Amino acid sequence: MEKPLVVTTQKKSTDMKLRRMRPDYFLIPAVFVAFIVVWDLFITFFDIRSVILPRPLAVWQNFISGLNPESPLNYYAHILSTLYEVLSGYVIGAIVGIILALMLSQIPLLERVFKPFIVAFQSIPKIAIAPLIIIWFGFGAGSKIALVILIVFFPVLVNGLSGFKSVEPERLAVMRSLGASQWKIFSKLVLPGSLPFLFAGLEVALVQAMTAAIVAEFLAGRQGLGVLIIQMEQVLNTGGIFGVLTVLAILGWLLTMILNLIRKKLVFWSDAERSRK
Amino acid sequence: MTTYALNSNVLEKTLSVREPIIEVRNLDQRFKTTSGSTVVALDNVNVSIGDTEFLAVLGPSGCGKSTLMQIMAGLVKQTSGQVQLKGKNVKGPNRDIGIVFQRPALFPWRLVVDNVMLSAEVLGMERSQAKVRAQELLELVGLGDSGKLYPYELSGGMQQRVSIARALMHDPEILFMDEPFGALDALTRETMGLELLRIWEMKRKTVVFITHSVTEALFLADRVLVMSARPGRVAEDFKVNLPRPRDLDVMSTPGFSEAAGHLRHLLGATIGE
Ligand SMILES: Nc1ncnc2c1ncn2[C@@H]1O[C@H](COP(=O)(O)OP(=O)(O)OP(=O)(O)O)[C@@H](O)[C@H]1O
Ligand SMILES: [Mg+2]
Repeated sequence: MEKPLVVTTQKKSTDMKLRRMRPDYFLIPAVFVAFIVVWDLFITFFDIRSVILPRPLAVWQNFISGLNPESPLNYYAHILSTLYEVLSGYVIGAIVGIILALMLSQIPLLERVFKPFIVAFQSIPKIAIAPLIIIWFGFGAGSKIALVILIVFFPVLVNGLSGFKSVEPERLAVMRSLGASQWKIFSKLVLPGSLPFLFAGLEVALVQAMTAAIVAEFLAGRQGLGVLIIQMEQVLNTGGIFGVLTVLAILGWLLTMILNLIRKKLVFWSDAERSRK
Repeated sequence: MTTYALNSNVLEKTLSVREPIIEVRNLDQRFKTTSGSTVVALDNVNVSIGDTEFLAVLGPSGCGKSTLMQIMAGLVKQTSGQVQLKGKNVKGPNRDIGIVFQRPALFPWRLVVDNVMLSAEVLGMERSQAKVRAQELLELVGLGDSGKLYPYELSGGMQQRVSIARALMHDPEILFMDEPFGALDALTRETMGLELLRIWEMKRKTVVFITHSVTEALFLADRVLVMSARPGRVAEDFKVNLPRPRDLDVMSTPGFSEAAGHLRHLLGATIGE
């Protein structure tokens, strides 16, 4: 008797999804076009010089020429360096953060000792450490990766720690009543239960990782999208800068999408996830 | 004929003195609160629970029902006193025990069937056999075709059925249930009570059933252990003399009302103290 109920709710939710998607598909491009038009009209109306704000068309032309491998200012080598710094720093920072969160969550003494330091360190704006890091690690990719690691590490550690400690007592009692080993309790209950927290941390960390890499490139470097922006700034190539910003937006969007896909695969069951969309 | 067989069976069960499967003697439990004072949760509790008996534990909030259950299940260490399970002192968790809580406490990332199979995995049972058994248990609780759903796709009552199936998976002799129907609406609660009795008749488990509800305790149990609060003590060990098998009609019999009146009076008195 209760079975058909489930089926109807499922059908209803797909219907609702379709109904909600349709205006999205139409509105997103519409808003985009409106934004471009207003931007262009704004320049015409106030007669703004292209050094201050280039026209959308100029940005587009810059972007296209950056995509042309023949062009001297093409993006590819820069995209590769920046991506390399962001991704390797992100992965290392996340792994270190998760391992440390694990250790602190398992050993209460360790947590009590280190928590004050973590809190103190967390309140320093990590970007302010960038110059120091460049002194320590030099002008190459190393210093950028180091800064990304430092920035990614904290949100992952803090979220991971609350994730590993957020075990529902009844679920734990079920495991304990079966005489489950520490490892079984961890792998079957604590770890999966911590994933929603972990992904919240990873999401925050991703945006900050991009920022960290670009800022480090501003300060020093031979290659990377941040370096390219500085080179263009020095010759007042505003249209070029906007072109690079477009690349950064697309890269950030792509990385976020990939992370979202993984998250949906792993934490589709969490309350937060299901109320999300 | 089947009815007769069942009846005589049950008659035999109620008449014979069962050998105890759980013995609790002079049990005390004190907790230190964060502010430093001491709470006496249990004060000299003595109970003997017979094999295949259905015992209800009835008492006001905070009288130590859950504490008693957790000590018997080996999840909490008592301050003093003795708890024996099948003649042996309880030192920790025991696989003869299955537990159902007020909240279903399912693992939301697991399919319903995988939730039922949890204890099979933890205890290292053979997987294909466990699968068959999980399906049987789902059918037993009336969810035969919900195995491939996720817990969030079920109603609260259905989730609680899954957690009962999970508790039965490793075929424990004893089922501890801590207000298992407390979060359900009155109608679902009655249905679940009936089903629990059906399962109990079939599986012949010892059930310790914690509840706030006089009606529920009387409807389900062979014996009702009435507890009083602060400190948690056994106020009365009440034998339920109602025929089995029971259906909802039993609640409108004079015997039932009389017993209910007695228990309510007792509870009122313990709260009033
Ligand atoms: N871990 C603990 N630390 C301190 N005090 C506790 C702890 N566990 C229980 N208590 C106290 O012991 C007493 C009994 O608690 P218990 O949970 O067993 O009551 P209960 O009868 O199950 O109540 P309810 O019907 O509300 O579930 C309460 O006064 C409670 O505050
Ligand atoms: Mg309780």
